[in-house]
Amino acid sequence: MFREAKTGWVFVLPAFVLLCLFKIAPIFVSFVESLRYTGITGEKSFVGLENYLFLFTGDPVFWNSVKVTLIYSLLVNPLIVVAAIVLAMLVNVRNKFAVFFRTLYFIPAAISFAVVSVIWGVVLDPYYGLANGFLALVRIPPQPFFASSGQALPSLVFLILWRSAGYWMIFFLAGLQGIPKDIYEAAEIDGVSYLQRTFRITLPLLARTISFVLVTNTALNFLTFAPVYILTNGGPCGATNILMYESYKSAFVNLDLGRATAISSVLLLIILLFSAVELKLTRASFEY
Amino acid sequence: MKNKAVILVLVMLSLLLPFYSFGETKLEIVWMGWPKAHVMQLVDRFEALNPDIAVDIQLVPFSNLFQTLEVRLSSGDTPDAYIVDGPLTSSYAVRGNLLPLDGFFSKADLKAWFPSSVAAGTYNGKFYSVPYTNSSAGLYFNKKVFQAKGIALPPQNPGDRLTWEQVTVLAREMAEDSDGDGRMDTWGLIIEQIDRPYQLLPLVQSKGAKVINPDGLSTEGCFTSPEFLEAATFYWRLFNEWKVSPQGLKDSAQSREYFGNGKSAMMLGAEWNISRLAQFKELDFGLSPHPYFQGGKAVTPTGSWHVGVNSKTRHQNEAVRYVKFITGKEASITWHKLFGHAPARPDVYEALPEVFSSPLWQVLFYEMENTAVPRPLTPGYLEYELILREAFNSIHFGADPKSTLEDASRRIDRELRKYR
Repeated sequence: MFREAKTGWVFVLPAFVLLCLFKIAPIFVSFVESLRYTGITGEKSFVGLENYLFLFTGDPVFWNSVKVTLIYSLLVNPLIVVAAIVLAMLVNVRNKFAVFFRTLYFIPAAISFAVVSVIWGVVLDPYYGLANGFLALVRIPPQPFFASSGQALPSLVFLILWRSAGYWMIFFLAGLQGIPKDIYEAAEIDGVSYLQRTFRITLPLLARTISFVLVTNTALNFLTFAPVYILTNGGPCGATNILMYESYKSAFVNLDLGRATAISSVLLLIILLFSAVELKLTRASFEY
Repeated sequence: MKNKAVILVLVMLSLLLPFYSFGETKLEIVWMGWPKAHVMQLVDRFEALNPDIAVDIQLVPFSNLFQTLEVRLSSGDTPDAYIVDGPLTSSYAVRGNLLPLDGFFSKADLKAWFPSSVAAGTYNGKFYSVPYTNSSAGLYFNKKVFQAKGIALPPQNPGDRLTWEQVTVLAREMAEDSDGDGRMDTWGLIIEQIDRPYQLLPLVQSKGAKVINPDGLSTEGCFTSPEFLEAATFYWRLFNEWKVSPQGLKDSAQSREYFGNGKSAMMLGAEWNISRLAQFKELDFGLSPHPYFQGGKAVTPTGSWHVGVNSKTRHQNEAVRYVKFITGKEASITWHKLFGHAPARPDVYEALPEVFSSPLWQVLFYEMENTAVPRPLTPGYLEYELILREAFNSIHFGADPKSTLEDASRRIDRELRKYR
């Protein structure tokens, strides 16, 4: 048994080393950087928690960024999970139409976020975009979308939902196809309705998949960057100024590495907290 | 077996041959993302004149350029030379990212450029970046829209300008939703760079407002002065009260698209539009001098691109040869013909009388000589510009000018403290 474990470690070691080098180590480097002040010529000095103190007590932008990030996360993640489950249930049938629709729903996932952002920026143009053109046909007044502080964040959520739902649908489809058919047959014999079947059988048995998708999707969405960078620059009026974008500006425009890494450390803590809560809430209550 | 090993080594070496330059120096240049076909004309000419130098020119879009340069300059000895936004000269210089060029350009050499352009490339008495282009701005107007409304065209003589108050009246008359579908069919005024300090600081300076304190390291008292706030409130009203200007335009290209397709009666824009608006065949436009506030003074933006050498380059002489070529008379003439930028060299204006004697260029030349005010001189211009741009962006979307500018001033001053 020990020999088997040793063999396993040998196979895993290269990936583990790369993971440590490019994922784990930068986290520690970043945290150390957040405890320092970097001068204009690159000289560094230790300042302890000064960067964090400024963020929490004196920064006019940070708390708005936290609020926007949390609202964004609480909107986009449940929506994506629900949409992905619904799509997976819709295409979980054996016929040629299902294959066609699976492909159709997955296509957005094959397009990069940058391209998706440019396309939707044109479609949702507040004055002459396609979306407002359709709305005009049904006599709905033109909508500002990304040009309004009230609609910019929901528009961003919609863009991410459109791009991501099809991708996570594949995971739920695999999960659905892993549920034994005899459970459904027994439920049918007992006279269980479709809705009861879905909420009493399907969803509980998908708990592990839901857990995986929710935690991974949450972590990824906290790192959303391209649509904000391309479409809104954090506006209007800070309405889409999520922490990831604020950290980027701090590092590469304001050249304030201390503040930038302090923000990313706080973001990491938020991601860990959300992940822990989601894992607890979606823990599978039974096995099959 | 031994023969096979020798052959394998020889094959591998031959695969590496294309990457080896025999006696050739390879220069890496980071450049603005202008059309590659245009840029390569100059690069090819440089390489033809300097067969010992190969140029690897990397074109980066404007929206990514400054961040790309920050990352590249902080992480190594390349690029060897790069495009420098004029106001950022001091920022790069103070951080040791630009090579002082006084040893390569004599006082006589420097007379080739406008004195204000040379000043913009100088910091603490040392010459760091060579002027490549200049700029100015004016009020473009769509003649057909004015004529359709029966309104007299704006003045087009150098120095004969409208006030902002008059422009507002015109814009309010022109703006209309002609088919009643809730979408504006004609806007009154588009501001090309809708939130950028380059375009908007002349408004506040026309009111007599200070935009930075004399030490270049703080904005305390500047953004909250009555003059600055009056100008910012006027800007707010264009989008939120009079609704004569569209909100949310993402870049110059989109602004030009709206104006070029007849969606706006007027556009406050830079000189490069003279050539770029030619793509809109239906557009018949004129250029009026940059407006000013009643009782204030005429102020126009100026300054543009420079070229600098990375202080850490390993190919100093070759990089300077590139810089001298690209900012020389021949390349400047070619570049103007290709892209329409205002040259930073007076000798180019003299060399192209058929271009610069046109009424449109006469308006802009007058501004460059009489009303141009360079952007604030501060080593923290990048931070200053980003934060102020965010403030203008928020104001045009409806945020309260006073509180927004107070926040912006505090944030800028915090960022500038690292330069003290």
